[in-house]
Amino acid sequence: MNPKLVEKLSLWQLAILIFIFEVGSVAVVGVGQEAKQDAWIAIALATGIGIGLIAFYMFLLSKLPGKNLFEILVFCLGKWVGKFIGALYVLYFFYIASRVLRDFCELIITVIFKRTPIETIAITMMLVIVYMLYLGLEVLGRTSEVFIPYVFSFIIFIGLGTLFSGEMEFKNLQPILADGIGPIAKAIFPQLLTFPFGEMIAFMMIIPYLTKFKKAGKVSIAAVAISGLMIIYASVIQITTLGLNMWERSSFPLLSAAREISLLAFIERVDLIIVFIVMYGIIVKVSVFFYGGLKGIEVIINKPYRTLVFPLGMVISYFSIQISDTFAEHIEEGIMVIPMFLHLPFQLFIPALITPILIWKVKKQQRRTDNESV
Amino acid sequence: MITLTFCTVYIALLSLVSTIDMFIYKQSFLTSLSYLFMQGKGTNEWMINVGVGVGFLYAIAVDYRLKKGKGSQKG
Repeated sequence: MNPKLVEKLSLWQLAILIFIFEVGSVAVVGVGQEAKQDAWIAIALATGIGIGLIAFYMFLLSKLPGKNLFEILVFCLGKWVGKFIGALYVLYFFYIASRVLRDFCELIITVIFKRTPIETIAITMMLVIVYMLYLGLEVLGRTSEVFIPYVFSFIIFIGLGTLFSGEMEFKNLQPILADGIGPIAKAIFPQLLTFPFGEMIAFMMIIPYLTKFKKAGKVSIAAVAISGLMIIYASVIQITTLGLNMWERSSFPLLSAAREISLLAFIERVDLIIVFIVMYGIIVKVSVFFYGGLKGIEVIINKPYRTLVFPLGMVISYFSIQISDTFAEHIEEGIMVIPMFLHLPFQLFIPALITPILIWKVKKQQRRTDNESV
Repeated sequence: MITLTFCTVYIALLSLVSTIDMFIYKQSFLTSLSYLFMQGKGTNEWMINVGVGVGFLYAIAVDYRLKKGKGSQKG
């Protein structure tokens, strides 16, 4: 007999999931390089836009309480067009899940398992995620509750560790706004706007399952703000510790910064802490995207998503390897193609397009129910 | 239905990845697609192929189980 499927999240679990989701892979690859030493300003501004974005997603969800993104699409665009756009979202979620999994695999084979095939890491990691999602969304929420103190305190520790090791040079952050606002705007649009903040669209599949939906908006906004602060903190650590040139060249900047920590000639090689943070961040991020895609399929084919968790999990691990031959190619795709051709349409354009239709249809529905009641 | 969904998702993702490769490397869609099936020397791509194969067999087994369950309910 299948164990009971639990699909209810508390507000606290949602906040944690958003925090880990946002910080997760940003901690691996670093963001805002286009803005150079002003990256922290770019991230701060992007956080503001990110807050606006989550407020926008919450507005859409509040129009049809209890309905997820796919159900909203079907409501707005009708059964066939809605399901077709929904199917495109499913592909988008699965593709991004594969990319995020690849980020993690690359980190692991670079840092700890240097002789282990990347394919093994991808499959094993995906099996963990498959098991977690098979048991239900709440399991993911509860696991995050267990790990959040470690993730949070480890990130704080990295900053304090590099500071007390004497490796931080705050003059690396100067000159501020040397090239004006141009590079900052370039860093925000579309890169920072879409990654990590726009990716919050995946939470439109999770937020409807909250126990207290009414308070979800405020909690989500607070979680995005705190994650933004944490990303700023991480980028300041990276720039001050590594310097601009090293930071731009490093594949995993926070990891390189953590390697500089040497306290009391005793606390050294703490880069494994970063691996832990990233590992959990990636588990959450892949799970959220994967869950989003699975729920979409559930709406499309009217079958419980659990039956698809394992087979499609294997498809994601397959594509995490197939999407690119090398890490350089993977990053190039992530900068050149994905933000413009995938992130922007799915995170901004489609939700913006359905907004007027949603408002109009909800009003029409309300008028009809008012008339019937009279 | 599960097997059909599995195959559809697999083929659609293959097309998406090939299209992106086509765009980046400025080559034809078929070249990009055939490149995905080529096993690079010294890689362990067979592992993910086995993974997908197992996933496919699992999907067939689930479909069979669902069909059997439906049949016994009718009977």
